[in-house]
Amino acid sequence: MILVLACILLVLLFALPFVPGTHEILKKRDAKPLYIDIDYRKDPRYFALSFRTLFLDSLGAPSEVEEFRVITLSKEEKAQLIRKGRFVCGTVVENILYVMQDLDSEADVTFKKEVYVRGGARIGEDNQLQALACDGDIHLRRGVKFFRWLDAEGSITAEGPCVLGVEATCGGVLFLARQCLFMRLYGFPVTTAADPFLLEQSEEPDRDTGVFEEDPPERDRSTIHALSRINRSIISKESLTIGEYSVIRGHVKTHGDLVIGAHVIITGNIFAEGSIQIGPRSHALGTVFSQDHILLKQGARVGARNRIKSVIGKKGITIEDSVRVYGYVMTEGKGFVV
Amino acid sequence: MELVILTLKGYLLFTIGIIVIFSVRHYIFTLNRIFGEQRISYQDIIDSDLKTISVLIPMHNEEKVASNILELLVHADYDKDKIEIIPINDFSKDKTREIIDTYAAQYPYIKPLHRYTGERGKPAALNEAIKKAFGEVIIVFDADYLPPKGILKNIAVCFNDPEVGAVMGRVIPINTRRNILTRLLDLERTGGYQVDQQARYNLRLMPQYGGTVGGFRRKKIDDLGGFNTKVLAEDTELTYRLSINGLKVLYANRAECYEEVPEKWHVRAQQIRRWSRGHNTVMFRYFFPLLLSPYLSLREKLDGMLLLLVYCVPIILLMGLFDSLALFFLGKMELFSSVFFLIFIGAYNNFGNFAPFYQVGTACLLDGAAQRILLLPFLFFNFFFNMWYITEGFLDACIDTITWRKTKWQKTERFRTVHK
Repeated sequence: MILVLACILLVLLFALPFVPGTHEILKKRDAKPLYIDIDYRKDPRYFALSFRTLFLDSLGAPSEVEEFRVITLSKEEKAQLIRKGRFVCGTVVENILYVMQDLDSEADVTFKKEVYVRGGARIGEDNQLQALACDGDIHLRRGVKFFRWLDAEGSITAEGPCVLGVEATCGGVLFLARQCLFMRLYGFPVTTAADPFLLEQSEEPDRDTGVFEEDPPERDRSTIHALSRINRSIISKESLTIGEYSVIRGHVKTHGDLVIGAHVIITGNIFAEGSIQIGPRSHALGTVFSQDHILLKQGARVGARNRIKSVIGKKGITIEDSVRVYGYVMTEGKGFVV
Repeated sequence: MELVILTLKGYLLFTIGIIVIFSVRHYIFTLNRIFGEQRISYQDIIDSDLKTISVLIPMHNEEKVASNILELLVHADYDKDKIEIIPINDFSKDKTREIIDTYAAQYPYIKPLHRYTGERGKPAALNEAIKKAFGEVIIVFDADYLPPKGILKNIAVCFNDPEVGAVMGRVIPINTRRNILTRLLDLERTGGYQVDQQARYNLRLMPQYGGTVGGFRRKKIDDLGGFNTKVLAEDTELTYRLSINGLKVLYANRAECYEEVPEKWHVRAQQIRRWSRGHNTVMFRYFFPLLLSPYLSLREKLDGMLLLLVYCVPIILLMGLFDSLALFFLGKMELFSSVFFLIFIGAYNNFGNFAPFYQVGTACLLDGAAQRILLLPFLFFNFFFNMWYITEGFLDACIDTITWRKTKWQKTERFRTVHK
């Protein structure tokens, strides 16, 4: 009898772990395949364009009347439609705001929901916004803080220290003043130079733009002396220093840190497991990617007018004065303009 | 007799050692995914200078699935003047040819390759297609895959890194609802990609190129003489050939693609036996070249070696089981007082159950699919099933290597409804 009971107990104990699984097999509560968005395409302006589309689809026929309407984004929300947006100091806007012409806010205005401006937007000092989509240009005075994103079809000018949320993107020039904080930027270019086009006009066109990819790379260099000319890629197991006025017509990859001196031209992409420092007035025609920090020193350039590239530094990106990046800047850490 | 007993006990200790090593490996990967620093991947790079790509799709009697993948690829987000799609009709006897030709007539960048002469099989088909391909990068999909619009850019952009020789994306089963087998295979894939591959990428070890949802540099494969048609696991072989020659395989977790997993146990048995046969053939060929490569760090070599041995472990365990039985019947394996037995059972249970549990369970949590963790105990049966057929594959590989036997390519049966 005891033996029978012991056997029954053993069988029960063996079967017990399978009970919840058997229930799941029968009920199929979690049997669907993991979700993949088949239509997803990489677009740095995704949030803003998606918001515009959802908003306008929900709004329906265009309206010239100032009113409140209920629209559906992720859920039903109240939206305030106004012709011209003028907000005095200290105003708090509670609803989603749709401005048919221009927006102009004074200091200390708070916008608690998304703002969509069909004209241009001038945002006053110390304003706080969730998100801003603008079909014209955006001009930010000092102290403006975004919690999520901002996007302009034209340009974005941050004339004083601002916090640019998760994403600041535009179809034109994205200018950042000192002490701006960011995570992701997209512009043509993203710049800390007051007049990037003036700078371009004063520069000689880069003659050495080809990338030599066919030849085997040079390996395990730790130093490239100043004034070097190398027509192949470089792959280094450790850290690498590239002396000033060098020209590398290839890609550069290091498993340590990378320090690039002043006036260096690298025609290819730059990858590093460690940090990357691009020296004053150096030019990287390709993408710059680091699993650590990136420092773009005064006058450094990435990409070119007709070449969209990326600067991606996992732990942080620091940008000095007169820097230009033609395309995308991204960090998971802190992006800062010094 | 004493020598026999000593040998048997020695082998038991060896088995325990192997189990412990692989268990530690599983745990390290799991802990890395939970607590370790996660390296960012290259999918966030935006670059206007796209590389030219050739997308190869080997097809042998794929009428059930051919139109699905071609329809998705013609809508892919990639400059049409920088892409060509080469469906490779490999000795098909069904409507595969007609389906491919229909698409080729509509889209000029679809350039079919119809093969009815020459060597059969995926490696030979790829070699012939590569000769006519124009792309700097070759991307390969198996015919049952369902690539999303952005995946070609996600894969191609990884080759901006000059050290990358091949890229592997993530495979996600689509037919998980079918039966218990598809659900268990889904768990295996989840653990294998979300934890194992990603951890190997984080730790700068040796992620594996899986032959589909991935790509490689065309020039490098040309330099290496193309795929070896005598090896069933041409993807594993490419991983090692690239690695020992100074290039890296990169794992791209966000380059996700649906696949169809086997829905019948005998189909799964054939598949895993083939994988084991191919993988172990690669193990015999590359074990020493791996250790001697000047381009690999010590930990890359160690990881590469353990990866090569993955399909040996089941036969080591199986022989360990027989070993322990032999010791028992020889009276040298006391059930309740033998520390060896307890260590063996503990270690065996560890590898067979707990170590993969941690990987699979962690992967499910990372994916936000917590309910399917309840199925983990069923992996216990899957383990024995796999062990048997992996052992058969290992023996196949031994015979192939010793006798230079010619390998015959077998494709996996498809289960999708025929699309007209």
